[in-house]
Amino acid sequence: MEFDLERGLRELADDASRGTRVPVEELGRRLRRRRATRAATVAVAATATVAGLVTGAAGLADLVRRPDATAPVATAVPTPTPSTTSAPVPSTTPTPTSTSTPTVPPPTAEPTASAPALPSAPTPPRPSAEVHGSTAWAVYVAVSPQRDDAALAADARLTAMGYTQLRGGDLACDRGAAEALGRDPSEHAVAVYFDTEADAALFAELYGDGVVGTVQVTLRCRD
Amino acid sequence: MTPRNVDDTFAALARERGPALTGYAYLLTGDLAAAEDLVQDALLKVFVRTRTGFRPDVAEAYVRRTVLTLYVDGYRRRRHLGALRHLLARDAAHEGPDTSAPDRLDLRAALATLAPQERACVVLRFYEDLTVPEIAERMGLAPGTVKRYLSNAVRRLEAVLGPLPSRRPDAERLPDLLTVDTDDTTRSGS
Repeated sequence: MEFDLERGLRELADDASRGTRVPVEELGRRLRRRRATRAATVAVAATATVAGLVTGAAGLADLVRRPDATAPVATAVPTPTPSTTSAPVPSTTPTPTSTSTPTVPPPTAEPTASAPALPSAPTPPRPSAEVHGSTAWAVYVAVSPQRDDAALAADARLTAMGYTQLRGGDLACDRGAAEALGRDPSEHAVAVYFDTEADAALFAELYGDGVVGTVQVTLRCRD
Repeated sequence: MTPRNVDDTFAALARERGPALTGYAYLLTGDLAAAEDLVQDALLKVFVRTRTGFRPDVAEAYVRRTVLTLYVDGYRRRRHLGALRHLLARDAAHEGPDTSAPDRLDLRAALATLAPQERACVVLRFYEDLTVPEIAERMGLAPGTVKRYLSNAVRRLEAVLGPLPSRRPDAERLPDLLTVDTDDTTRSGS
């Protein structure tokens, strides 16, 4: 049975909104205080700016009158002290992050204290941090027009191998992939990304049957 | 708009739409106290400046956008995603309304598995009913990035909730909730 996500979210929001109220009077007082502080800060900054301009103009006028005089030292305009009550301005440019999810440590088998000294299976390589705009070696394990059962199966295999970071999306988000694989850029891809070709090759070997291709790509859609 | 009118708009919005705004913020944070703080911070941020033509409906749109921005940017700054996920997933005492319905408990648990930007995309898509381009504009992301977040978010949600409607066998006849063209301006379900 399918889960009605839209209805579920509406019910969750309705539940949360029931019985909650915004303290209007208290918030109004905070708002007036913040406005007053902001107005005072703006006034100080404006006064300082004007003072700086006047000083600079006087210095220039003096220089014009006495061309042999040395140029006045530029008066630094005092910068206004940032208001402690002003709300922080959210950055408009997102800080490039590799991914919003923490990079999962490479999946490794936990050795036990009594494990015999046998040659261990190769450790699955650590995936790339996937920084927007950087290059990486992508190993594609499913490519299809829509996210279908093959993609889900590939997802499940990757999870079983310990790869749990973001790994789905349009092929167009990996520049160079569609052309190299001979696929449409709008197709949905499931892939894991590595910093080196050697890591990608090792992963492909460990994954086994089902690898669609390995391509060096430029990463987009990671902002 | 005179300051007096702005204050009236502020009071009316806080009183009449405060609960709905808190519900929206709760979907993002998963924590009622955090949601209430978010809404109050957003109201202050929006109304500290006197704006012209600030009708109540326009004001609410501004506040909703600010709630989203504060939420996403707050998590970007703190980067304590792992710890916060732990709190969101397990701190039942602060998770808000006592909803014993199994579906809602599952949904809360499922939402807690999402990264902040994934969660924001899901809320904007499935609750606010925005299109991918609208979500991209609202969050300052490329449409492809939004689709990627949605794709991964749905995968994680389905792991807890089971199949979502976009997986229905007759999906070819219905607009897929995820794979919309980047220039698609139609809304889901339309």
